[in-house]
Amino acid sequence: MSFAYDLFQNGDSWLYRLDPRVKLLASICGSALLLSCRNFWLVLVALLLILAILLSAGISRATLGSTLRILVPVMVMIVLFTALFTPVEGTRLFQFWIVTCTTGSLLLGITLGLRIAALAYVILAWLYTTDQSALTRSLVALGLPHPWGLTLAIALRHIPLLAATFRQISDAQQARALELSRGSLLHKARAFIPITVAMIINSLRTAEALSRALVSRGFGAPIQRTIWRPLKMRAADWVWLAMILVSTVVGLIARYAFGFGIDNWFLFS
Amino acid sequence: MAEPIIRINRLSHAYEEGTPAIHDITLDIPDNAFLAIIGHNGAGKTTLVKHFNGLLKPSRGQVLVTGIDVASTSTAALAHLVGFVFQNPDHQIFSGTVQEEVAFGLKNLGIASHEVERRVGQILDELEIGAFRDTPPAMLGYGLRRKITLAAVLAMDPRILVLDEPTVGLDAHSTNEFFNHINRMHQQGHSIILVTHDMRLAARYSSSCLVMRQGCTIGYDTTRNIFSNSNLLACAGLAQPAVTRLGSALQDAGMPANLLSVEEFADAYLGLSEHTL
Amino acid sequence: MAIIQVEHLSFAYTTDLEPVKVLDDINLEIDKGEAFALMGPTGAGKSTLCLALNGIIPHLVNGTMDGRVLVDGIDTRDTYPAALSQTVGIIHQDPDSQLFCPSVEEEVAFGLENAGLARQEITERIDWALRVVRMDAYRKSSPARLSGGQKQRVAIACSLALLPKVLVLDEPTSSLDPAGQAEVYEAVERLRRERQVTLVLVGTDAEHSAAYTAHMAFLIAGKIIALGEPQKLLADKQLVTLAGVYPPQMMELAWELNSRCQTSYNWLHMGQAESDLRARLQDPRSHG
Repeated sequence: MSFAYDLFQNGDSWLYRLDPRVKLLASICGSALLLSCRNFWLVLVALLLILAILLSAGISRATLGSTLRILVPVMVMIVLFTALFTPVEGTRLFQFWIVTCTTGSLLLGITLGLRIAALAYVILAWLYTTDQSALTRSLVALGLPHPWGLTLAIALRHIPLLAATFRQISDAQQARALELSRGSLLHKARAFIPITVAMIINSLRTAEALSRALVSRGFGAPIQRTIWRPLKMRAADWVWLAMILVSTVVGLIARYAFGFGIDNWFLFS
Repeated sequence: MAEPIIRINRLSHAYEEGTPAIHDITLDIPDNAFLAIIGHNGAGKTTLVKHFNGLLKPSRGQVLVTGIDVASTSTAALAHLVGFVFQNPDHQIFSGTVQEEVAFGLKNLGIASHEVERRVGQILDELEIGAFRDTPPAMLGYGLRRKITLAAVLAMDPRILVLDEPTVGLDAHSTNEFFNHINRMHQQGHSIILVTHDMRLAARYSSSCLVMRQGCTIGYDTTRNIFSNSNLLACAGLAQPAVTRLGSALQDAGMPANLLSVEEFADAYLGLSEHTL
Repeated sequence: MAIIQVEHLSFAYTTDLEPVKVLDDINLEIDKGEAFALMGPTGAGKSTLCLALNGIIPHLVNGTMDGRVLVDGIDTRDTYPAALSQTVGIIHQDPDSQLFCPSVEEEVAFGLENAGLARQEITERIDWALRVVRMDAYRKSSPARLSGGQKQRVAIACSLALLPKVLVLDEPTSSLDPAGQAEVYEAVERLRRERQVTLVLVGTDAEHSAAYTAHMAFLIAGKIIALGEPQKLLADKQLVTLAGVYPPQMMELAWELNSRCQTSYNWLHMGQAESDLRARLQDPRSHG
């Protein structure tokens, strides 16, 4: 049995057609801008903007929703920790032992929580719309040595296979009366040993088979490799590249030269 | 009629990644059955049997194993009742020695250590792998690894034994040996459920057959009736074994069309040729 | 003309304890354009012999090799295995560990890129190889989502695109259902017929391979103990049982009848059995 799942969502739209290198750059610049910003309204706009971009690129609401389900616990943690443990000026909401919660710290918590969601979607925009080969080809085109790129491609390809193997092994051990869901935390941790060890033995076998398959298909021959479909920047890619660079530079100047987006001016002015 | 050992009532399992769906299956498996579940890859055979020990829970319908509802019972709690031999032995081997590997399930069942030792010793002797007692199982050859996983399951002495393509990659000698042990279990009263796409195995060893196609059951009958129905098998993407086909081809000369094995064919043929002589 | 010559080949794996001898003085000649079956029990050394045919042994496996292997006149010891990929293609049992690209066409392209071919040539060879194994409709699909038979056909296309003279298939169908097995055997047999690709079929099941191959060898415990035409070799019940080979069921029937009524039937296909038995049933005096 084998099956595949990865972050890539099959589709065809403007975002898919964009050169993967440009998308990678956009993700990096977007992340940089987000990380430099602590203003609630800016973060909210950024989150809505990236969601709008993803929807317009044909990513389904179901996909966005299932990612959100994973993000929500993280967001809640961030909100709680920031609100309770980061002292920020504002009206005091309550105080308990060493914990003080103010309107300021609550707002900052919410901002940071939304920011982590926006950040995740910005990076996922690249992963949702770039298949593995484009992903590795873009990294190789940006200077990553080919064997590394190949290693990355294989690793990505094998994540779903590993997940399938993990499931099969966990099935097999449970069928031998291994109890995974009950008992103390220590018991649960120990219960994973039979699965982990079997996983390692399996991975070693697979790795050996894989390395032989690579060599059998001429990998490592002392010949200059061809790149069958090299990446090519089209006019639209250059336009996007320019727009991304300009807006990032403008954004960073606004942030660091003029302090734009540091605090929550909209709420308190 | 005696209580069935497994009762499946309108069972459906919805599609998930990696698990073919099954639709609306109703079926009773009698105690001490030797049932073969046959069908093409992806027909849902494995999805069905994974409900027998709770590895999968029904999306709809119900599965009762000796009256126990699998939906509310964990796989580990069903392990003493339902043993599984999976296709790939490497999906369970992890111990430092063969002995520990075989003892693993017994220890999980909470059996006293002297009893574990006794049962492990006995099963290793029965399967003639006592000599490898202290060897790391992962270092042994494929045939032996297969045998160790069988020993690990047999040691737990489950009433129901599910075999999922157990002999893929085994040579003829090891396959015969494997099924000798299974036949012995069957004679001792255990129920055997064999998932396979190898028609020779199903014809030779099973007494009843369930035919699956695209998640549905399309036939459930004695092995002889299933194998004499070439249309049904063709519909499931399967073919009759060569002896069965030869029997039907010689029907006009008086041969039966429902022969399952070489021995049966020879008996029928010799009976017939003596008669004509 | 022999395209594969194995001369006094022995191989022992190096382990922590003592060397494990897996192949013991193997001598083989396989002719160009023929289909050859290598049969034997699990652990006999069949896969090791396969690895010696495309140079992975001795280059990438720890051990000591004696004797030599010539493939199309090339001594495998003098050539790096990656360079042999355009002479010998090898298909393994587990399709998942030999496919690693996100799409079928890139899977096929991988070997061709490694060979440094021109881009136009690569495109043409991908088109051709996928047509030959009848997988051209799936060129954009992810190999992970294909059926077992389809995966093996893609693996064959990957080797095939490099235009090897020899294709070694190491238990290529053991995890496939009957339809998948038929797909694979049909594809490789067509290759042999139409392109004179030499086939080496390795396995334990003679039901299929007996029908396709001109010569067969039985490998037991690292030694070739029998070599000849399948029809002759498989008639020897003792030998086949010793080798752990699944005989074609018609041959099994011939054994059974021969032992019970002193006939000397020898059948690989149902057709042979049917005509012999029909004659006998309709005319009791005729003999098998």
